[in-house]
Amino acid sequence: MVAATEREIHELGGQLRAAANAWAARDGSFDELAATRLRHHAIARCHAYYRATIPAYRRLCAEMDVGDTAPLELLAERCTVTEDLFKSYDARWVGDRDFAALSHWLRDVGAEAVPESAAAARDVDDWLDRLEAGRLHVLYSSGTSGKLSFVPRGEASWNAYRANGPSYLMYRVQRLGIDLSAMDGAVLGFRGGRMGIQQAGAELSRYLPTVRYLYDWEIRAETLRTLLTPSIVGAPVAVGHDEAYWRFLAALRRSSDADRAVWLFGAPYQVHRLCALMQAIDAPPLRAGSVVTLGGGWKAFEGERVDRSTLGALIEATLGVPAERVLEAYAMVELNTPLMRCPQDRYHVPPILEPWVFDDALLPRLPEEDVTGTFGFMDPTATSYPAFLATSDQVRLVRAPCPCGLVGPAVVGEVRRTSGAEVRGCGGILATVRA
Amino acid sequence: MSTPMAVAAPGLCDGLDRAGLLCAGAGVIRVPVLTRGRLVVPEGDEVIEIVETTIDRATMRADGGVRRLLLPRVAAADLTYSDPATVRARLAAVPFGELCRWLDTAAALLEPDAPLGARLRALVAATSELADPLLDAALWLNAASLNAAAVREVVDRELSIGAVPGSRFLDEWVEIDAPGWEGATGPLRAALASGPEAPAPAPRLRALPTLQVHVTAGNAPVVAPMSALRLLATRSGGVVKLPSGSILPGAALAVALHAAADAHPAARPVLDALSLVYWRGGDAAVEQPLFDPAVFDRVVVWGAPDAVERVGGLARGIRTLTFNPRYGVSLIGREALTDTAACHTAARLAAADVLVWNQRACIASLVHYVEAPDEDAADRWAVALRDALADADRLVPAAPSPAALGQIARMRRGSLIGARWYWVGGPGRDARAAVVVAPAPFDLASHPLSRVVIVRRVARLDEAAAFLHRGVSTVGVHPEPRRLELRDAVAAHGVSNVVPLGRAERAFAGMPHDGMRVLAELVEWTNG
Repeated sequence: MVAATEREIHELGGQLRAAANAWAARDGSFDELAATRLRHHAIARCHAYYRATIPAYRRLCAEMDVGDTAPLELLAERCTVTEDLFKSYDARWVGDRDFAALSHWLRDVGAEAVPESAAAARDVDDWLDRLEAGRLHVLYSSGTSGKLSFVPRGEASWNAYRANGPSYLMYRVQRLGIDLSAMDGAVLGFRGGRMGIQQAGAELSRYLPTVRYLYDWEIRAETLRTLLTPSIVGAPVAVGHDEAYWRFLAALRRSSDADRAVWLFGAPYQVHRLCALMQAIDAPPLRAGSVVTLGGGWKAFEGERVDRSTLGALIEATLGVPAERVLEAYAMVELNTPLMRCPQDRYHVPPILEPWVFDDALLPRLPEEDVTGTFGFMDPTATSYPAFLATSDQVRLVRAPCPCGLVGPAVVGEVRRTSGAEVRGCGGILATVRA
Repeated sequence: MSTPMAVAAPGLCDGLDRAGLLCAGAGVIRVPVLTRGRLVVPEGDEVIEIVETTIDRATMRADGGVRRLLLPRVAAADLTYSDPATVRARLAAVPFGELCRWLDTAAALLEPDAPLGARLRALVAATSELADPLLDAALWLNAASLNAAAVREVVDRELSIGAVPGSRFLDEWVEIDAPGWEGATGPLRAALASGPEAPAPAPRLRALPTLQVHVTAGNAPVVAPMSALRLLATRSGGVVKLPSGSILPGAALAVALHAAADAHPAARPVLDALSLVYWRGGDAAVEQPLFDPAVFDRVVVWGAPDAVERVGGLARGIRTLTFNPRYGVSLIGREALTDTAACHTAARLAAADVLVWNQRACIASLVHYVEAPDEDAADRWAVALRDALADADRLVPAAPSPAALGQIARMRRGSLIGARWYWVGGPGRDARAAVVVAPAPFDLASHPLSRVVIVRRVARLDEAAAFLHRGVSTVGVHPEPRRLELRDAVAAHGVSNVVPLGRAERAFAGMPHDGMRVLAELVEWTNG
């Protein structure tokens, strides 16, 4: 029964990708009303599926008095989860190597069966490897706390994760006149690993013959956890940091010497650093036709925010890549469906996603023309975990058609993290304290 | 343009009405402040606006309305002193008794039954998240603390040395009867003397006034008045920055002190050296020139980590007292779970410690460590506490602010999705309080401070000591024999108050605050 529901949801997901393709084509073939109906139907089926298969979601529904069918607004109000769900495990389990407990937790917050062998893992990476061997793909991300968020995806959700973006992004690529066969890839990241951001490199390597990495090794979860432990942040990663950038610059130079354009992918602060180094040595720009894709957030872990216009000017001056060839997406590891930023500075929400804006009380605001608040979404192409999510990002969401030609909702301007200051107050405190 | 005005004690409220000050009208309240003894009112464009959310007192939830406070914009030059030594000398000459009489007069004006006190109460109630009994207690405390006898009692205890009451050190050079040593130069001096030495006068000590800057917090309506009172009790001068979240009690204090001064001219130098003002935290135009070590001797800062850090940076070179954000916890011994009656009794005591300023005080209990043999026992405690908080909600109703409600929802649907939740009022938008049995450590940075208690089971009460540190101000322990048994171990972790359960708020004259005898830190102890 649930297997049939899952199949049905992913079939609907395929139809939504087709709708997104038509939406991105901007050729008049997109039927917004039909896409909305389709999406709402998929969301309703997802809710029923989550309720049947995800224990934590089922408990939430029971407490909030939500049955198998409920209006969309009610689901947004009562059944959205937050990013912290994906790190709601006891951090001591990782330190104590209690992977039976961690597996049990993963089963509680997700819909997928967790391979029994995972309980016998030696460390986090071994645990992830064993899950992968059981066809459960788990990506992770981390903030400054060092506690990893684990997002599980079974085959169907994993396929949706990989297929959603290309279903509507290829038009953008085509319009830029990109010839993938004449390009090299350059990723300011690790060659491999299960961090969400690493997947960009992996996906890029599907289309480009050569991809070079800032760090030509696979980042392991245990390494990342150690690096991000507050007491030792920065210590090991600083070793060889500059050397990696110099090697990366040499690789870019080789591409230029071979007269090949580059598709450069990196977080803004990394691209900023690369440009600064290139300026320092008066390095030549990339070959014409190169593209820069920014992702991973505008703040470094140290809290410094990279100024967008400064970076844009730097990219053009140093890399020789004009603003129209600088692409950027709003993405997160819990989201199957990235939002691309258009030349009009809007992150467009593809018709696969139902966007929400929540108020301070985490109640959904009415879907008016122009609303500001906490961004949330329902992604009905994810069946492995509850993909009705309220983020911690503050956005302005508008619904008027964009001069770029895309219709539907879009996030305008900068995305900023929600401040917790009002809630914390006097006793609130000590961000690192645990009780 | 902001201008000074005179408001005398008789007909005080009539004067305020005529000047259009502290009146609730058309959603705008014009608020006066005090700059070096002058009452300054907001006029023209030189104003700062603070928007407050109004509360439906029946439900204690935001009613959708707002009101605006208009305050005069102040400049650093209005608050500082061109000749600080002369100001200190004038302050030192004010007899402590005169100071007390002045404060007594001001206290009478602020009493809840007095016209100014009643007006303040009505204004504050419109936006206060505190239920009537808690609000009334706060405003009563603000007035009662100014009372002459109370001020003298505090000063006499906190500045006392030996058997000498503290107020004598403020008024005079007090002879110290203590063993002494002439120092290494003593014999040399005698050897160099041309004849017999005159007997040395006895050593004397005086507590001299200082010039202080107090940056206060708005988590409770008593904080700013209490900080101001410490400045006044040391017969000092300086600036008290009112918090945006609790402007009106400080403004009313300014009005009362100003109005009372006419009848007490001998205390006038204290008023003339006092400013009770507001500026936006981080306003460099005010803050950069204000924190001048050539002028100010002490800085007192309360509040959130970012404010403490910012002011600490500005106040470099000035001795700074910091009241860091801290919190309270409760240790519940297994004796509380032996039967229903014991559980009921202990839960009611524990609830009282949760309620302190709606859990926003640094001493309020946020986490309960319960000595329980199994999860069921921890849940029994949670249920008893939930029931106690529900009863408390009938006596002193409260509801989380929208932001707190959002934070609670985030916890429920994120980091604490695996916890067991016991609601007062129901989940979601109906929530009024909650008890959460958390299976794993919880990040206190995301605590919403709105009658939400995190329950953690421990096998033995002394295991909870591992979670204690200097960020914990207060630990309430139950039952009493367990408190006495654990007191030293708890204190060894830097906890300032180890108290019986239900007594977190208990205070006494001369009580240390965050491990400090604060008045003793605010005066300049001078040998003479």
